[in-house]
Amino acid sequence: MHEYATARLLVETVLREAARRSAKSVTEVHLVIGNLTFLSTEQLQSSYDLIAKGTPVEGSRLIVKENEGVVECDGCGYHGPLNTFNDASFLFIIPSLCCPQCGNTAKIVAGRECTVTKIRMEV
Amino acid sequence: MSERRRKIVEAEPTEIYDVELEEDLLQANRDLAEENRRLLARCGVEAIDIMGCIGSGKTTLIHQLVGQLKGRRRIAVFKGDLTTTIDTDIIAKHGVETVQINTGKECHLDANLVRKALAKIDLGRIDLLLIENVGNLICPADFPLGAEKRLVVISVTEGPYMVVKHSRIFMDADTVVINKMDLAEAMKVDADRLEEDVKHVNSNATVVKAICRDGVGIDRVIESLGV
Repeated sequence: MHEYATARLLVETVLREAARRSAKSVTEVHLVIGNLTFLSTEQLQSSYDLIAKGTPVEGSRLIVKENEGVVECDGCGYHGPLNTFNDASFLFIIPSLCCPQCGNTAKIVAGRECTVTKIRMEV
Repeated sequence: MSERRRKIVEAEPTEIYDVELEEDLLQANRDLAEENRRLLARCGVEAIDIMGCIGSGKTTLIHQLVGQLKGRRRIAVFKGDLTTTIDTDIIAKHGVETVQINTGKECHLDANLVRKALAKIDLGRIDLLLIENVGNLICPADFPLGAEKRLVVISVTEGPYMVVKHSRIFMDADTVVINKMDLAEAMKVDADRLEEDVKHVNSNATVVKAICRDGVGIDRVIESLGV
């Protein structure tokens, strides 16, 4: 599961930044996860807790903010949320790359990231 | 000598320190994918990332593509799988170079694994690389490999909702193959509806209806990939 691999990268990043500042411990890690990724916050949290055990990162809170997907259209210059098409038999909204303005295929410019934005530590 | 005032230094109480960052954990794979892409371009090799569910027909499609193209293209195949070399052995019978990438427990290929596989072949001896990703319609979407084109195989035996349930992987597809068309009636699956769903998600993708096992539609796949 790639939540585990991502959590491992996350713990490595946080440990690196903590070591740079000779931190005693880390209390909070802030993440922005794009809603076009397939990362589950719950699984990421549980993998993170597992990997952080026994390190200065153990016990730190993961605070996750979700980023909406954004597309840009080279055809008409549209920059904004994705189009969606809905099917009543589904409980979720199906994203589409068709530009909401002109219908051409737009490209994704945000929503595929898993970015560490802040680490709170005790030094 | 007058007594100097002693200065005592005591440890400060713990300070809270906020580090501001902008580090995207998924960027590392994207950077490696870009390196792979540049290496392949420098060596004049076109690479196609072939994705799809378990059992959709990816290996059969590759088998057919190799069969039809080996006369005019110099081909190598990377086969991603959790374990075994069963499928690689099938492809190797064509006499093309094959590299098995066993991902162990990972559910997708990533750019790092592809980079290691690229080091195992002589890129000067090929001009077309077919990469079969692990059978999975979810995770590969987050992990580009550096291939120039991406192809997704679905089959009618997976039911009528594969595109809408897994729309994100179709966002990156240049070509979508709807396979096992000979079973569409028995499965009561409307392949035209599946094609519409693909176009709703990504109007740029070319859709080819095929029966890979019998070679039906392979010429249109080749045309759509431009290989």
